[in-house]
Amino acid sequence: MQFNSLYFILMFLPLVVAAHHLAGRSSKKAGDLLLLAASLFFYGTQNIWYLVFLAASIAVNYLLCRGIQAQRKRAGASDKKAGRGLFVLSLVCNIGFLGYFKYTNFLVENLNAIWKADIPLTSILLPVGISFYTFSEIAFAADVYRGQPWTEGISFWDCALYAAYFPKILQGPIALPRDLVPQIRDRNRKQQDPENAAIGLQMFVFGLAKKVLLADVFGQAADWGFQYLVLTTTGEMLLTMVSYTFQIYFDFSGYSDMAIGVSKLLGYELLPNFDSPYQAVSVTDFWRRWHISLTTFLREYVYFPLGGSRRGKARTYLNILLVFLVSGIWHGPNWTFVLWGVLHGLCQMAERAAGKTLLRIPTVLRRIGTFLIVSFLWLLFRSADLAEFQRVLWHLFLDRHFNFGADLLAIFRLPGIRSVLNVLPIGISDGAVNALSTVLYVGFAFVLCNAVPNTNRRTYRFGVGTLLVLAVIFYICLLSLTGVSTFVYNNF
Amino acid sequence: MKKNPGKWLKNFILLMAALLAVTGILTAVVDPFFHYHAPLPGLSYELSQQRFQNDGITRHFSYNAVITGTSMTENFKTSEFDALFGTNSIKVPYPGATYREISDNLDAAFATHDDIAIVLRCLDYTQLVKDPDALRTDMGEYPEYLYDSNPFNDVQYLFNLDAMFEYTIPTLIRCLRGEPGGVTSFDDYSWTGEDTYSRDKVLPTLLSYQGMAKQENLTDKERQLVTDNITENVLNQALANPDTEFIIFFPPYSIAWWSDLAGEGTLKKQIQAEELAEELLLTAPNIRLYSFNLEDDIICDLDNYKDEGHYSPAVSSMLLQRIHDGKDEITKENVASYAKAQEEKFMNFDYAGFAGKESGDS
Repeated sequence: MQFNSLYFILMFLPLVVAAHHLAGRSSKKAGDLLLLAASLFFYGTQNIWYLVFLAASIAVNYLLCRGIQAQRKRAGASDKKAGRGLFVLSLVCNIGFLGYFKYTNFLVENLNAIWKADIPLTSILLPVGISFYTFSEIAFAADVYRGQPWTEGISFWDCALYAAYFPKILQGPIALPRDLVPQIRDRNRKQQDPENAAIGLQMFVFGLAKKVLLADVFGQAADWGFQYLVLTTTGEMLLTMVSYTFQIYFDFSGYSDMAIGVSKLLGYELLPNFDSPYQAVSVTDFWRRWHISLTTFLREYVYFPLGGSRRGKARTYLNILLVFLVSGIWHGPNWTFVLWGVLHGLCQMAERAAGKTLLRIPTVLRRIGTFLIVSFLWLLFRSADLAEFQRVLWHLFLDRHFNFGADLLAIFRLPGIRSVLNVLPIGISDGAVNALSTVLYVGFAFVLCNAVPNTNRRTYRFGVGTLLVLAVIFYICLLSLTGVSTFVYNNF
Repeated sequence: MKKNPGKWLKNFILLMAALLAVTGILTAVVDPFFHYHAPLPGLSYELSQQRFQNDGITRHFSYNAVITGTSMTENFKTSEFDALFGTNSIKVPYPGATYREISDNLDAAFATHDDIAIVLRCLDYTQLVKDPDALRTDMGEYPEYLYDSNPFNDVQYLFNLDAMFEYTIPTLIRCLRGEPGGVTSFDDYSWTGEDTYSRDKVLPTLLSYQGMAKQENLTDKERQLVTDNITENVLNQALANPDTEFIIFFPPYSIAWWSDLAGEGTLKKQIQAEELAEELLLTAPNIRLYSFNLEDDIICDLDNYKDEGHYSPAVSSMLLQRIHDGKDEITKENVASYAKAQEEKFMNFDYAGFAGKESGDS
């Protein structure tokens, strides 16, 4: 079950919100227990084994955290290192857990390549969302070790809800303990706020529209470019690059909007995860706006413990590089992700070294430059492997033809545009219609990213006009979740 | 006036509920894919989406004969079939389908109709040596919600943009315009549309022939696959429905297709697989079997084809007539000699000479 599915929107979400509302009337704890049950059910619909692994992760982490707390209590406030052994054990368990499921075959492939060995690959089930909830558990264990007040005496059920909370478990945001745990533990927290719920619903609709109406279309174009890579012109590769840039943003930020919106309907606040990242004036600025929850986690639980910027320039640069190496590895078991992370780290090191010199460049040029760098690196992120990225580079820079294939442009064809253009007294070819649609689609995406307040900064209205517009958007999105597909077969 | 978010929220939910209710009810009542009922009198239905409409047609239409198979049955006309065999037939083709998918559809037919007199079914060579449970998953997202009895996943049909705006609404508009009720003729229920058939489309394959390769025999594993595939997906169904006549035929692919097999070294294997399938099928008393590979007026006339295998509507009509007349029937008495005749023909055919002659004539 995904957020963008009819089962979730028409069945699961209304039932859970209604049941949570009713249960919450008796007590917040009853509401939270219901939310935990709903979260486990939601996660279990992905695969029952994923639920088993999640439950094991929650149980082991809770036991270790209670052990850390017990050791700290026995040692007293003066011993800052009390519980360190168990904390290290929790890190080993969490990183090992993540490493086993996500990186075993990557390790085996590389060992085989280096040593010309023939170690067989294993077929390991990769639990969806494991990267997100494991980082949440690591953050929690670190807060317990640091003796943060929101972790003192926490119950198993509150801990479980923090880890399994369904709005954020599959694709984040990575909710840090300091943000979510106090909300869960506040038994007097007012759960039902109509204005917040109305804003949440609007955010959900905007997020769904980003995913269904924008991300999926740009995704088709990006897939086309990579599927027909050997034939793409420079023009087509540029359009593929822009398409993937918008696909990944609208998809990921759309999901985050839906997660935050659902959470508001349930009376909980998740922090913003995106803040108009394509308006960034530098790569450093980009990372303050993109996947903010991951950047925050890396800053607080990796960068600061490494010393941050407090141990001299060379060590600062090294720490930045290490953080983005971790970020690259976290994104997936492939050298493309590792290189992508490292290159982002190197860009930030260069910006840091350049200092205020960069500020002399006009803002608009810095924004364009940052957009181009980020978009270019997205091609590396999207490539199946480094060899494919090499081919991408060739087609992007060395082909030097700027014609566009009919199939690629046809992806952007707007419904009804032909009927509108037929009103004009001039004849327009299908190719021209598709080209115009492409320009409008891409242009709209640029405007949305650069000139329209994002869902976390916009002013939410509750008038009739907003009601009707959002109802139409929501209706189109819901009905677009299924269609009548054409069965394409090449062999009879 | 101060805006009231709580009231806004309630109004939004009510408005969405009303919109969805109207959409769902309209789609369920009109039911363009016949998931719930047969076509309503007075409404004009368009048949154009085979995998979305075939199951509904099979379950809810009234008929006593079925024409089914892959795209090799697209061009059959039910009017011709009914005139020849005295039936009231439907046509439910599944382009690119495996034997399993077609068998599943026939199961639905037998489950909902107990008076099916004839089933006309093609068995594609390309799907013969396959796992009996194989299904095509490479062609698109399958509308499972139209094939199962799970009412919850019907939301994918009731709140479906294309079902609503490409089918339900146009059906209602046709009704409002006064068009007479009914269903697209099964004669026209085909994706082949305005396709043209000519040798120019087939010659390139023939001209690419490089010579007869060393021929492989059917392996034991492949023999088992054929046996299981035919038994589970064709033979058992015939045996379970002894009052129904199963007319089964191997579609006559063009000589160009056979030249491909000759060049790949799989020609002999294909004929062995066909012979094995025929032997198995002939154990059922209610199966009549046909194969047309010795008919040069069909397979060697390249103007009959639009690619290596798909033959024209004229050929489809010819096949029906031959089946009705009892020509090209494979029986227990001639199955071995037919296989031998095919092997002799295709192993000794002058593909290169034929290609040269055809390209000179074109």
